[in-house]
Amino acid sequence: MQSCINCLYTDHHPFGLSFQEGFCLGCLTHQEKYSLNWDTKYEFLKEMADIFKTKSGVYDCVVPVFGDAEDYFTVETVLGLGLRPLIVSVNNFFYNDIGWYNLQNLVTHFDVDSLIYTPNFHVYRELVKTSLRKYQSVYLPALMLMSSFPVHVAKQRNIPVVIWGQQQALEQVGKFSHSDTIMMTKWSRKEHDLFGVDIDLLIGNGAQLNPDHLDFYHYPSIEKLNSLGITGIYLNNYLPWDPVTQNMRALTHSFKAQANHNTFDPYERTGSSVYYNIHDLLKFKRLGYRKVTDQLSREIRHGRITRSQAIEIEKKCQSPVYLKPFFDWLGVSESGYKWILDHMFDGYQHLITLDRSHDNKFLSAEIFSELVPATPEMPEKSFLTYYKAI
Amino acid sequence: MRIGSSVFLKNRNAVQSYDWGLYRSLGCLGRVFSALDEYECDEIALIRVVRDHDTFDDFLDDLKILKLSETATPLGFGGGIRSLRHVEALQSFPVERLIFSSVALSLDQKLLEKTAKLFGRQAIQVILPMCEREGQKLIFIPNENRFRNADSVDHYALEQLSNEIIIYDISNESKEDAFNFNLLDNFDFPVERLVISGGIGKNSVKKAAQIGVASCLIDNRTLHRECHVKELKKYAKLY
Repeated sequence: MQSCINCLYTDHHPFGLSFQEGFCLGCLTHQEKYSLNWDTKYEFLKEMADIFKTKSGVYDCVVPVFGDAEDYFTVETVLGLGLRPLIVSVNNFFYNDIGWYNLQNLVTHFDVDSLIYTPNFHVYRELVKTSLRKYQSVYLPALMLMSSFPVHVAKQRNIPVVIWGQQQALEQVGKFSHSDTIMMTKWSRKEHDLFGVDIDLLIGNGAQLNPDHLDFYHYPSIEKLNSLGITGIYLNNYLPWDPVTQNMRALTHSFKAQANHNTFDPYERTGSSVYYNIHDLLKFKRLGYRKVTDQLSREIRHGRITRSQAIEIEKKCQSPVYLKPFFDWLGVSESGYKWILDHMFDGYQHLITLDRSHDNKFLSAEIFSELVPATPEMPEKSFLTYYKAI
Repeated sequence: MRIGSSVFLKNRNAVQSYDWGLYRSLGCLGRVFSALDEYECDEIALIRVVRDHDTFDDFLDDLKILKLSETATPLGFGGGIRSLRHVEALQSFPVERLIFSSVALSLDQKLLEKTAKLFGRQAIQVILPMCEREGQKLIFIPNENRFRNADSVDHYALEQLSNEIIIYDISNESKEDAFNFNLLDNFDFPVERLVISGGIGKNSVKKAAQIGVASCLIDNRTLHRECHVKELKKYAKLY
């Protein structure tokens, strides 16, 4: 196993990590942020925005959102370009009360039109079960929808562009240079968003599902998108991306930061009942590291912490998670739950708690206060199918 | 004129090459092939990055990856094909073209003749990684890991031994529309049997169509946006 001498990544990263003279390509690509002419890049973005305006009808662009802090920055940037966005989100059934609040606040605060798609619950839950069984992931169906549904909306309504925040593979592992100006593609979706597993591979011969219910889990036809001239761009190709600095701005728009298990970052992937819970644990099981490692590597690159500080924080962010609410949501029986803990998480029991009250023992606040000034809140309700938060 | 894509293979993964020495992972070769099939590439040139450190076992390991990665697009394969053993190992693969570099530059006539017997002369391509520095044209010799003056290459011999030559512009790989056409000047080889790669974009495709080269291979940028290949074909008025 090869490790980067600067950040915390190893070559076990699912996007694939290359190294040069001990540094990972993620760290080397990050250095481009200090050498590129970002004014020129932003001017180019503005020129593109002007072209999109001439091609559009009611809306100039689709902006896919979860409702976390990065989405606030993305929407703010899009509005700053003078574009009229249609905000598109997918109900993944994992939102907690903070998540619903942040999503609804985003729409009302910026006074933008929105479309929130709620998939068929039974189909979705069956896919989560299959995904957990086959790929040890509970998030895959949500990612499939989130990475395709906004593109379907653009196609159906003939909206010329889908504007995403960051291209993760560029930010995390430097899979591309900022100069490549990579755009939204079906290949990138499958390779990076879905880790190589599309809906056909997921359902295989395991899930008993009607294919008619799966349309939005598929990416639209490339040929059709091409003929309509629909494209997709990532803002981190045009702006020197700095998530913490950008995400803090969301607080001024009444965004609620969330105290989470196992991370110091109260902005990223807030509002989810599973993200820093079972999703994070499964990530650790599959890859050997948790989300906090991504965030710490990012903070090292931005020079806000040292590698040794990051290693200390990483150690602190390994508290056990309470999984029962997720398996209740999944409809698993008591005996099934016990079987899963004994078999699926064999060797990882020290990272699971059977004590419901443990859920409230947050480590993040004490670590977090040194890095980011905000007072994160704790969720009161989880797994909300719908919640009128405002 | 064909429009295809060049893809590099390193440590059993598809990679992108930048500045002839920096490699960014693309990931699973099979998924890269699927995307290129969908983009209607006319051909794929898959090149192993091996330079002067390669073993036959590494070669076989890469072939295992190739076996798992199906493509409907005509495939050229090269990088480290340096003996008859290598050529014979490729016989059971659906490879339409074998791409030589070091062997061709050392004019290993015997091996190229034997390859022609097994695969046909039309299957032999030679790749010349080239650049222009201080007015001099240089060719990179992979198995020696060094550059040599391009004038020292026996063009006549290459013409006799191979069907097509790929001129790969290493100074402009990964760049948008920057292929250096000066590299083709004084190149004593029929232009209709030349393939160009490295920094291929709209204008280079248009110019390539005008001068009549056989094929343009887009490098890293094929996968950076949807349907780049089709766009370029339209731009060069290929359909």
